[in-house]
Amino acid sequence: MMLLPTSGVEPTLKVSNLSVAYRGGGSAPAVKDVNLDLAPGEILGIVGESGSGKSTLCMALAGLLNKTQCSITGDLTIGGRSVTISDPEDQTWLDIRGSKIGYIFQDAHAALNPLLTVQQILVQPQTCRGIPMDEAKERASQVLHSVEIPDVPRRLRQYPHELSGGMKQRVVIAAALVSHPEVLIADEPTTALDVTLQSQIIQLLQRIQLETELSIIFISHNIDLVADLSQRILVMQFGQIIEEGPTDRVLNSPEADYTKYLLEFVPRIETIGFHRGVEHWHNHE
Amino acid sequence: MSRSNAHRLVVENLSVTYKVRTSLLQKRPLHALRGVSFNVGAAETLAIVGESGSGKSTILRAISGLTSYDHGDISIDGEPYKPANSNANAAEISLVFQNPNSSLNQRLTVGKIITDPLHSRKSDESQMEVLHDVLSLLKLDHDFINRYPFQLSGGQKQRVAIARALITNPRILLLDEPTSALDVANQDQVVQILLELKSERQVSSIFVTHDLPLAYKVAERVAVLYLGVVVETGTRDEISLQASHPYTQALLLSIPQRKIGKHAVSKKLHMVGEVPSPIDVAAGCVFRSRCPIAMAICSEVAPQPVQLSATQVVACHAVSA
Repeated sequence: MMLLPTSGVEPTLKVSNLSVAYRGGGSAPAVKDVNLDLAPGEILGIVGESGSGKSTLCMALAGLLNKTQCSITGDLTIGGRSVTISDPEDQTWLDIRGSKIGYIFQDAHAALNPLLTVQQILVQPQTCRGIPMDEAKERASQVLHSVEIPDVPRRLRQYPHELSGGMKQRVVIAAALVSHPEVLIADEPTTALDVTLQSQIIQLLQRIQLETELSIIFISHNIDLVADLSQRILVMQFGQIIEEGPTDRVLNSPEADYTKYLLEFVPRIETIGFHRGVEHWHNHE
Repeated sequence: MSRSNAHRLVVENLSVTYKVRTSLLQKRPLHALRGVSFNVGAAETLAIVGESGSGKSTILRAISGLTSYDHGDISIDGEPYKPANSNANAAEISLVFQNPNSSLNQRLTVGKIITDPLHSRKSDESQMEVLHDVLSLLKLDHDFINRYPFQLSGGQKQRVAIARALITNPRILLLDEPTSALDVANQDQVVQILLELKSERQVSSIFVTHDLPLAYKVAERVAVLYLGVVVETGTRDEISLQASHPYTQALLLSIPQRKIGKHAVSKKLHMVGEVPSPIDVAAGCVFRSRCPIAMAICSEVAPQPVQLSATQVVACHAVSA
């Protein structure tokens, strides 16, 4: 099942026949025969419940799996370069990971090194690529501005434990963006956050995508959240893609029973309104 | 009939303060709840909605006696209730925790876990009888009695936790985000069971969640909590259609658009900042640091609750009856 969003355009990321099996798992592979294309500037949503293989898929796409723990097969091209997907320690990965491809982790607290300041977290990946220190520092404060962190000079000196949950997630996003990636993989970036922060982070990702024209793979178990953000949706179950299509089509006329079922059981509010029609947030602007 | 008889549970002016160590030698008070009042009717579900740190779990812990409170009055069916020395009424209130993996003892079988709260109150035969009743009620297979929690799925484990809470036939069930660890289908299953319990066993419940659409699905009434203060209470339709407090409105506007069938708004919420630390909250309205319509008075005086209808109450200087 493959669908090219805009025919004729070279995809930023293309994977074919990707399978991942954890060693010692014994049973079915975590990801099985997955094919997907990501067009430049596209936001692709991946939906699935826990255990559906969506995180394993994305970790394989970013070369974050440990080859001693699982076997990975398939062909991957990122930004026109072929990558040895089966071996995340291969030289092709070292050039791409963190520079062409950025990753936003679900648990911001676990993703940030507690011993480094925010500035060190953002500068290190640049200096080890040979970018001069001054330039790297400049870029670090730029990227913090772009993720809407107030009071940047003070934040740069702080350690992760001094930041709130929403702030930490913004730093993780900044770290993913610091080397101007072409592809951003966001693995449930808002699951650990409160609803008001969730909508802030979603709006932030939308704005960044518009400004930088990067491609985003957005993963969530929440189909409604994915729908707000992405142009195209993949539905995963048992490690396979069981439905794929433009967001409107998948939501309005789902083909797979599983997609229908995901859509049916999500609690919804039929309509919202305000006391005497007064809505404080818009009148303010 | 007096007012208290219409309500199964009445909580008035409940305040809880924790002592938090802020530095090596210093402990400071954290006001988790600042005078919270609400009531729950018979066979009614009240949803308490709020974000992390708002005090939702503290409310349940205070009512069930797991945390002591500074002051406040709790009554059940008109009778004053003291959670701290409530051995006699321990069966009145049951609590279901968020994560079944940590709330179920992994070394006990399901049958043992569920009947544990009965202690020696009942003979073994009558224990088995209630056990089978409660298993049927929760649509759990009777073979599960001899299984261990690790042999069950997440949804099954949470149903075992609910079965344990129901075994003493409580009048009030306290649910602390019972479905947040579950996937969509299991969440729906638990929600359906809670709805059935309400109609079949007349159980009253408090359902704590951060998910407003879920609250809308399970509860008749909703209380919105922010930094230990109830900012708005109303029926589920009043909260979704007549929301008056800026924070309630922000929660509604934060819901993914797809979760709302017909939405009146096309513009997006632009809320800045995060929930401030509950340590050292200054006087005045708790929401003012993020409020789009904050006025001078908001930093001086905490707004008093205003009755907008028989069931809707809001605490905001900008909203008048």
